Formats: sequence, C-alpha cells, structure tokens
Amino acid sequence: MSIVLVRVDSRLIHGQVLEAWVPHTSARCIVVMSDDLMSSPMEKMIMEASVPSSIKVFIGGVTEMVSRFKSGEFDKLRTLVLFANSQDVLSAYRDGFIFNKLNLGNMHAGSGKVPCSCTIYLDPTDIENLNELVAGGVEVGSRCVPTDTQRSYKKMIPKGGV
Amino acid sequence: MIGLVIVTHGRIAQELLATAQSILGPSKQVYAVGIERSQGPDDIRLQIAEAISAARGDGGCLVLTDLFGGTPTNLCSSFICSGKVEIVSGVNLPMVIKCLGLRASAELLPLAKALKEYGQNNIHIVSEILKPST
Repeated sequence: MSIVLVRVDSRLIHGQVLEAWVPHTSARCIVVMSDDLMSSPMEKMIMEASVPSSIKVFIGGVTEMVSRFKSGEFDKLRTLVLFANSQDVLSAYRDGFIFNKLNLGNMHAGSGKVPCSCTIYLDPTDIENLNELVAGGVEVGSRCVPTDTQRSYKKMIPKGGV
Repeated sequence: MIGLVIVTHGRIAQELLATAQSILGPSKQVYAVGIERSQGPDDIRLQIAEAISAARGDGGCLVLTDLFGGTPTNLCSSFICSGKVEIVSGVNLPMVIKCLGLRASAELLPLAKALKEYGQNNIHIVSEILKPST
C-alpha cells in the first residue's frame, strides 16, 4: 500500500490540498472517506470535478473505502487520504485501515471546540480519538500546509485543557 | 434584477466589491463573503446562504467565486438551482464591473455565460497590445 499522506481536513478537497499537498507528496490518487459528504451530492460532485484529470479521485463512506483499501485497490497508487474529522479517522482505524502518521490540517471551530491554533479546534472527544490513535502507534502532528513546521497536537492544547 | 454575491478566500470578495463600487458608484443587492482560514464549513455555508437570500431578486442570484476546487466554490455549489442561482468561478475585477452593469436587464444563465467570456477575454499580455509604432 502506498499512502503518502493521511490528513484530517474539515474542508476535504480544496485549495491547500490540490495546490500544496498533492505536488508536495507527488500523490497520484486522492481518497476521501466521509459519510457526511455522501449526503451532499453536489459538493461531492464538485470536489471530484476539481481534481485534475491526471489524479484519480475516489469518494465514499468510511466503511466502504476501508474495505476498498483492504482489497488492495489503491496498492499501486501514491494515495493521499482525507477525513473530515477525528471520529471518521478513528472509525477507519478500528475497521482496520492501517497508517503510521496522521496530519491534522484543518479542524474547524464548533460548539465545545477549543482553539489550539488558527486552524485546529479540538474538543474532549477529539483528544480521546487522537489519544487512541497515538496509543496504537500512530504519529499525530499538525501541519496545515507543507511549508509549516509540524507540531505535536499534545503541545498545542492550551494550559487549561479542552 | 439579478442579485450578486462574491465569495472568495481572504478579503478578496470585499475588496473586489468595494473597488467596483468606487468605480461605478454604490449598488443594491450585492454582498461579499470572504472566508478566513479559521472558519469551518458549516459556518461558511450559513454565511453564503444568508448572502444569497439577501441579494436575490426576481431574476435570481449570480455567485462569483475565486478558485475552482477551492472551499468557496465547493460550498457554493450546493446552492446551484436552475434559473435561480448560478456560480461563475475565477472572478476578476472586469467581471464584477461588467456584472454590475449588465444584471438589471439580463437573465441569469445568459449573464453567467457572458461574464465567463468577458472575464477570459479581459486577460491580456499588455505588451502584445501596446505595439510601439515605429
């Protein structure tokens, strides 16, 4: 399996991914695992249409895409994997989607979320999810665009906690 | 009249609109939505919905966005509605100025097509036009 980046980005496929991360990682394939996006057909369609034709793109629900990974469908492609939130990452991980590193790109504000950087807002559930991944051996770091320095999410949590 | 909403990264939308209005004078049924790095999709979607419903007139609403494949365009896409809301990406100042001039007497889809063409046709390598006379 050739995974070049696994990223949490609430905007999924957008400018930073297409213009910065795809060239940086030389990805040839983008996989989006999101149950929520499956209920917005227009947004799914425009995300598919925005990817240059030289890059393959596959968008599906978490369970479906994990089983396609397991079947070896993406083994020969340099693949960039996108999730909208930490819960989807953990679901995929528990389903047997194996990866070593997780990039936190954009995790936007919402009720109960505490700002940890200008693009990362976390709540206690996010912390639990990320901690479980770390306990399983996944290296979790925040880096919005390739030119940013990677930071450990644990060091980004404000002193009062979330 | 057709309403106009500009949706972009950063403050491009506000500045395009302010600049166009400084050239043409103030106009009604126009809204600018600039999205910041820290904003999440739900928050942005709500802002877009409010701007479209405020701008919208009898003729519907034209949405101009910056980058095809970027979040502003992606999130606006769910508002597309035949005859009511159309989106043209790749917005530039000539398109905004033209839109403000044409929209009172145009229909939505023909206006979108005209602006696409106008925006593209207004990109020049200026030296190729300014050939010095010898």
